[in-house]
Amino acid sequence: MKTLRSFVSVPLALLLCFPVSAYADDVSNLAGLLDEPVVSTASRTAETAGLAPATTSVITAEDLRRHGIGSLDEAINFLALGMIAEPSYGTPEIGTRGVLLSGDYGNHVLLLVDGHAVNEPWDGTAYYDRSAAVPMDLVDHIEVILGPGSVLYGSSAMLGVINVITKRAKDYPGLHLVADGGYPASGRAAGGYGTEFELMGRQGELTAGVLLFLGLCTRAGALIAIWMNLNYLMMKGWLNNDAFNDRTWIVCHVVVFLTGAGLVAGLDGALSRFLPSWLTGAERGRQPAPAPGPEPAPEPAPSH
Amino acid sequence: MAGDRMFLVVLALVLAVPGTVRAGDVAVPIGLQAELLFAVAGHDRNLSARSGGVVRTLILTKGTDDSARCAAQFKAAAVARSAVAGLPHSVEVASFTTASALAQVCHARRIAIVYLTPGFTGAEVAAIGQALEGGNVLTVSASSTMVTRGAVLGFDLVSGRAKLLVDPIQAAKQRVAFGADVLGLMTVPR
Repeated sequence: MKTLRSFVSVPLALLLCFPVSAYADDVSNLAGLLDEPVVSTASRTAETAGLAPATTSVITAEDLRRHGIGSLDEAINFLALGMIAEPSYGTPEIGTRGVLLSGDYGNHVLLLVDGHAVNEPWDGTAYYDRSAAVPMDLVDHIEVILGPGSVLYGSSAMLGVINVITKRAKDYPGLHLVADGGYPASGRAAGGYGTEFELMGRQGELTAGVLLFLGLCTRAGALIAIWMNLNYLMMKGWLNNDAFNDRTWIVCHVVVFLTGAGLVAGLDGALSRFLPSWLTGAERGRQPAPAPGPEPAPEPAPSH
Repeated sequence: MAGDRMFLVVLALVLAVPGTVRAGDVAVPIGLQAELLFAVAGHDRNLSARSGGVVRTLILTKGTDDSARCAAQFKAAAVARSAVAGLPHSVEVASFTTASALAQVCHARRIAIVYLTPGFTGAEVAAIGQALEGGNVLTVSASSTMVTRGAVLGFDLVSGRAKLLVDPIQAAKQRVAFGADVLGLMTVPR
């Protein structure tokens, strides 16, 4: 009886197991494809990280939120991949392990926002403490390439390239308000809005964010900050507390970020209808395309 | 009144310039789209019934640069797949004329998969989805926004990872049936 049971149960178990395991492998293959990082910094086009010609480290919005990262320099130090950001009087200085050129204001590392360089054109300074003028809540992910990238990006990319990719409106729908900080040292408040719309038959989107940094410092520190950041709002503190005296100031940085997509495409399509063809280059009276069908057979190669 | 219009035009241009450039950068690579599509198509329970022994993929194009570029890249990736779910695979390219003509071609040639390149408007994709209702074909859009308009499947990029979007209602109308384990890897857009 025991032999008979084994005789039946073993083939039955094998029969049940094989198709299930094969199917699970296929799903895991699909899950592996979905988990493959897609980067766009290494060659200026979207590609899977495995095919990219440079090693790219990625920190996602979920990482930023989960670990309470409030600025770009914190994110770079969080990655701990050899690129470091050190605090300074002005903007944090950035370098790589063994190469931190003090006083270069980060002009040996190229900072991109959605692929556009934001280093100042005069001296190449990039502002990492204000998150490259992008509220961190609008950041979709940050790509960091350690190593020279000047062949592709020109000057400022000697030590590395940092690309901040912002969220699309569909991933940031509605109104968002965020406030965090540590008493009494600093505070941060942010608001953002994202929406999608259709303009003249074209898809469009709009994302906007406002970020407010608050930080306490001495009057001397505030004066240095004024000198360094004339384009940022600064106001004197009004808090009535023993910890705050007349020499304590509140430094306030306001960052506004706006982006829209599809508006130019929609306007271009709409305006081109009213413009003469010699100006737009469009073909008037284009013949309708032929119905779908098989591709024509290739012509035979000429014989010699 | 004229001042208001001028203000709106200037505002639109100011807002649109960075975003328009960015919109082209953020997309799922075409090669990865092809890999994902054929991996997912293998999990469609009706694929073998609809294909009739050969899985035929139709790449539908519009007369734009983006569409042509995408079609060329997708075709290069698709023809490399000689088999899908164990069945022979063939690839065709055609220009879009009307949704009804597309439905007739799909029915006559037993097209199993229709890949919509960028450039289709929401109204065109909605017409395609309506024309293919009751048919037996999987429509896939390179653009994520077209999934809510009438395409069954689409691709999106969030936090540097590709995502599969699916419209289960449209999938049922076009007799596309994925298993629960595959649907668990997909996202249903709002």
